[in-house]
Amino acid sequence: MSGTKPDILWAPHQVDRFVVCDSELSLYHVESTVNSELKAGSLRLSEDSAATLLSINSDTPYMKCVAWYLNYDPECLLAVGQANGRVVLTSLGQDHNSKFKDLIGKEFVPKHARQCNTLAWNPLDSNWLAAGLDKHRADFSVLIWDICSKYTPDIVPMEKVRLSAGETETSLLVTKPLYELGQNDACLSLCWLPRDQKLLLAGMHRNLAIFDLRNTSQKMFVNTKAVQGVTVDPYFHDRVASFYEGQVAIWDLRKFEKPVLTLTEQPKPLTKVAWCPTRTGLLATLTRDSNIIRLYDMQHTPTPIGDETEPTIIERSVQPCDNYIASFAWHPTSQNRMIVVTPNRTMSDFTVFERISLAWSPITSLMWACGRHLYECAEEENDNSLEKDIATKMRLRALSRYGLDTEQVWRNYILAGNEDPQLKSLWYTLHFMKQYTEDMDQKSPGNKGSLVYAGIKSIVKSSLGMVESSRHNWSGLDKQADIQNLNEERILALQLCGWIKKGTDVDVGPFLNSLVQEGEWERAAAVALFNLDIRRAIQILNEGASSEKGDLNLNVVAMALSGYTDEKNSLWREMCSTLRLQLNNPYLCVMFAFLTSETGSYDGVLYENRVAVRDRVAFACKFLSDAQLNRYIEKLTNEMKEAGNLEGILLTGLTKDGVDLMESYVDRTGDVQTASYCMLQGSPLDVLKDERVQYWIENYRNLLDAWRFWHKRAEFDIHRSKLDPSSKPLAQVDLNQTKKWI
Amino acid sequence: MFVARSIAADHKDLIHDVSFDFHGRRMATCSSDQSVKVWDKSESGDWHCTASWKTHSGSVWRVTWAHPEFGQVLASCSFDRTAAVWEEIVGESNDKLRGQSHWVKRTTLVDSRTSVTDVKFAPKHMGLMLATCSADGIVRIYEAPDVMNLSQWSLQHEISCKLSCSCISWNPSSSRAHSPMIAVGSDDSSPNAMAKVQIFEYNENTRKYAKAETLMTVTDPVHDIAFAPNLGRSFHILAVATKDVRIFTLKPVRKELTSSGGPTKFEIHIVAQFDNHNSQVWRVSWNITGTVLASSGDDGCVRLWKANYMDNWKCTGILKGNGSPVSGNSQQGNSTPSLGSNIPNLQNSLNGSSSGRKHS
Repeated sequence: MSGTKPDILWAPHQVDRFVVCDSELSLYHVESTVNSELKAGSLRLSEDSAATLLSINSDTPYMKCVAWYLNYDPECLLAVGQANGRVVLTSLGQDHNSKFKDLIGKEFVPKHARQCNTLAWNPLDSNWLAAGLDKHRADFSVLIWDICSKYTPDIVPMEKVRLSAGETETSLLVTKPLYELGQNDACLSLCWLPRDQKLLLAGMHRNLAIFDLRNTSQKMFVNTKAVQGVTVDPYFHDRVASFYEGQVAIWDLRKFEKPVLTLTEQPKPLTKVAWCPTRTGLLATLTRDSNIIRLYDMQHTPTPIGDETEPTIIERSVQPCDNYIASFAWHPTSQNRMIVVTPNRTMSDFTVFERISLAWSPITSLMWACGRHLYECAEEENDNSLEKDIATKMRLRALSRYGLDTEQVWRNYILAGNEDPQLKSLWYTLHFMKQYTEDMDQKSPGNKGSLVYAGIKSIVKSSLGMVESSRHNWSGLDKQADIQNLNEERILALQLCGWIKKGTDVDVGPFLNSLVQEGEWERAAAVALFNLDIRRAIQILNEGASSEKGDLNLNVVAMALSGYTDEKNSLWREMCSTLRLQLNNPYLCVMFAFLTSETGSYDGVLYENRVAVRDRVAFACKFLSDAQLNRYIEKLTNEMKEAGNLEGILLTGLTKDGVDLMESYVDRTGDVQTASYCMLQGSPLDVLKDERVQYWIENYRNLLDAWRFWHKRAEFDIHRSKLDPSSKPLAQVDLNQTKKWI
Repeated sequence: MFVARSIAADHKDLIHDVSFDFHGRRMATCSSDQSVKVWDKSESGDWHCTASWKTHSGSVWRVTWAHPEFGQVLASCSFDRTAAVWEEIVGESNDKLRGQSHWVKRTTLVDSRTSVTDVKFAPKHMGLMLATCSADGIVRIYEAPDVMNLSQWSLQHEISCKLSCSCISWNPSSSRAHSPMIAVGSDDSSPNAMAKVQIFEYNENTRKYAKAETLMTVTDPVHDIAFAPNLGRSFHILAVATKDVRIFTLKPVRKELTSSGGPTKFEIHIVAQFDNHNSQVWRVSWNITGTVLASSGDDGCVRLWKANYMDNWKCTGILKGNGSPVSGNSQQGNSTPSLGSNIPNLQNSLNGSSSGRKHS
C-alpha cells in the first residue's frame, strides 16, 4: 500500500461497503444492477454489480496498513498504521456519533518512530488493537493498545507530548500501550487466535511466535522464514497460514514444530494470503505482478492425531480481470465472493465457483450441486419436438404406443410424431412389405413371403437376366423411350416402392393422386414424367401452381417442360441442362436431368441424394438393365448401410444386411426403440437371433424399466412373443424387481 | 427448454456428489459434513429428504446406487479411507409415519490406506459388484457372492494404476460381445507427462483385469470420467473431464481379427474436445441414452453437449451454477439459459468456438 499499490477491505458488518486505500481512503457502496441500469457516476464491478463512491478521507498520510474496527458500532471506524509507527483512528463519511466522537482522530504513539507493518483488532475485546512495528534497537515491536484508554499525564509528561507532536488536541494522544511484546525484534504480521482473547500470533523477524498476554514473559515460537501474512483459518482455529517469498506454509498450532504442509512454490513473491470466510479450507493467494488469484481447496477436516497421509488439496486459479491485481478481499458473508483492485484502482467483484457435481435422471432432468445448494433443471414439455433428444422422443413415443400398430403398420410413423422422413420411409416400407407378404401367402403359401421382407436387393437379384427392354411411347407425344419390360420381380419392387398398388395393374395413377392430395406436386410431376406421361406432369404442376399452398413458379416449370424436344443440339436442351442445377427442388431438378440425359445414362436422377430412395429405386427398376440395376442397388445399399439411413431398409429388408444398416442407425442415433420394433415386424428367426437384435431389445426393455413403464414393457413383451416364440417375456424381471420390496 | 430451480439441500458443508437411482425417483447426496442424504420424489415432482445420517469420519466424496434388483442399496466413499455399503430397512413404522426411511451400514471396506476417491457399482448383469479407487493408485473390485447378504463382500481384484486415482467408470454394456471393462482417471498433478486415463478389461481366461488401453493424449489431471450408456451401439463412448471436456469413442476391433485370448483391441477416436469452461472441468454426466453430455467447470457453469447426425458435437445449453441465466456478454457468445434449445447452437456455429474437433 506504500503510496502506489492500493489495498482493499470489505466492511465487516455493513457488507455492501468497502474501502480502497492508497494515499487516501475511499469508501464505496456496492449495488446490484440486475434489475436496474448503471447509475451515472458509478463504476461497474461485474455484470450485475456496480460501486458508488460515498466519501474520501485524506486525513491520514503515510499509510502503511489499515484495519477495520470489528464491532458493529461505529460502522466506519478504521485504524491506520503509519510510516512513523503511529496508529490513527479515523472514520469515513459518518454522522459523527457523539458516543464515539472521542475516538476519531485518536493517535497511539510508540516510543520510537519506525514503520508500522501490521494491525489486528482483537475479535473478542473489540477495544484491543495490536500493532506490529519494525525493529528499533532493543525496543518492543508488538504494541497492544486499548483504544478507550485515556491520556495519562502522570506517565507521559505533558510538555513532552507538546514538544514532540505540537498537536492542538493533546488529549487524543496515547503513548502508553496495554502490553509491550517482542523486545529486540521486528514484527511483520499479526493475528489474534480466536480460541482465547489473550493469545496473539505474530510473524517476527525469524520466527512465528505465540504471545500469551497472561504471562508476557513467555512465548511459544518456531523458527521459520515464513513469517509474513499470518492468518487463522476461520473454520479450524488451529490451522494457520503464513508465507515467505513464493511459498505458503500451513501450520497446525497443536504441533507447531514445523509446517504440516507447504504449498507449491510460486515463481514470484506472494503479496497476500487469505482464508475464505464463508467456506472451509479455501485459501486464496496473490503474487506480485499477476492477474491470477490462486486458490487452494483443502478438502478435509484436519485431524489432531498424527496423520501421515497428505490431505487432498485441489489447486485452482481464477482470473478476475486482465490487469495485474494489487490486492483482493473476500466478502465477509456472501459465499465465495471476492473483490479485487488493480494498481490503477479499477475494481472487479466476482465469485469463486464451487466444483459443481451433476447427474442426469433417467427422465431427462439434470440435478447439480453447487456449494451447499442443489439445483434441478427439468425439461419443459411443450417444446418443439424436433429439438428433443432421442431419450425424450423415445419416452414420448413409448407413451403413444409407437411400434405397436401391427395392422396399419405405416401408422407407426404418425405415432412417432409425424416428423421424421426416415421413419416415414421405414414404416411405409414395412407396411408395404407386410401387405405383399400376406398377399403372397394367400396366393401361394410359403413361396415368396420371405423374399418380400428380404428387400428389393434380394428381389432384384432373383430375377437376374430375365428382362429385356423395349421402346415405349410417351403418352400424348410422338416420342419413344427405352423402358424395361416389367417382370414379376420388378413389379414387386415397384409395389414396395409404393409407386403401384398390389395386383397386376401397373398404373401409377392412384399414387399420383395421393401425392397431389398431400401437396407433393413436384414429386408427383416427376413420377408422372418417369412414367412417360408428360401431359400429366404438366397438369400436376399447373394444379400445384394454382393451389393455395403451391408455388406460382411451378407454372414456369410446366412451361419449360412443355417445350421438351428430343433434338440433341437444341437450345432447350442446352438451357435446361445448365439451369436445372439452379433449381432448389430436387424433384424438379431430376425431371430435367431425365429429359436431357443421354439414353441409358441416368446418373443425374439415380445419384440425386435429395430424392427419396424409394423414388430413385423405382426409377431404376423402370429404366435400368438387369446388370445396371443390380450394380446400382448394390451400391445404394452399401451407401445406406454406411450412413445408417432407414430409407435403405427398402433395399435390405429385414435381413442380415438390414441388421447391419440398423446397427449404423443405432450407432448414430441411439434409437433402439425403432430398431427393436422394426426387427420384430417380420424378421426371420435367424435374424432375430442375431446378438445385436437381441441386445437392442434388451436395451429397450431396460429403458422401459428405468422409466417405470411396466405396462408398456408388458405390451412390448407380448408383441415380441408373437413373432419370436423363443423369447420368454413374462415374469422374469418382475420377480427380481420385487425381491426386496416385499 | 430447461428451467432450473433450487432445492433446499440443508447440508452443512460442500456437496460433493449427487446420484440418482435407476428410476430417477430417488436421489442421494453426500458432503464434507460427513453425511449422506436420501431424497424421494413426490407425485408432484418435489424432492423430500427422507434420510440423513453421518456415514463417515471425513468428507464423503461419492455416493452411488445399486440396481434396484439388489434392493435399496447405496455405497459411499470418503476421505476417511473407507467405503461403505448401506441398505434401507423397510418396516419401522415410526419412521414411516414421519416420512423418514432408515438406513443401516452393511459393510465397511477398509482395504485402502488412503482417501477412497470414487465408488461405483458394476453393471447389473455382472452381479452385485463394487469398484473403488483410492489416492494410492489402486482400484479394488469387491463382490457380494450372496445378494441376500450385503454384509459379506470379498475383495476380488486389486488393480494397481501407478498414479493417484480420482475417478472410475464401468462400461455399462451388457452385450456378450463386450467383456467387463472399467476406466480409471488420475488427478495426479505432478509435472510428468504420463497418460491419466487407463482402461482395464476382464479376461475370461486369466480371470484377471488387464490393461486394455491407455489414452495417451490425456496427460493433464483428470477429475471425472464417464462411459455413456451403451444403448445397443457397436462402440463405446467415454467422456473425460480434464482441463477441457473430451469425448472418445472406442470401437472394438472384431475379435476374429485379433488373436483370441488377449485383451480386446480398440480403435480410439477423439470425437470432441471443448475448452469452453476456460479451465478445469470437474464433472461429466451422460443422459440415459448417452446422447447428451452435461459438464461442469471452473467457469461456474453447467454446459450441455450433443452430437448432430454428422457426429459433430456442439454446445446446446449453458446455465450458471446458481441456476441463473448466463447473460449475453459474459460467456463466449452463448446467450440463453434454455438448455436443449437450438439458439445457442446457432451462435456456437457462428463463432465457431465450440464445434468439436475431429481427429483420430
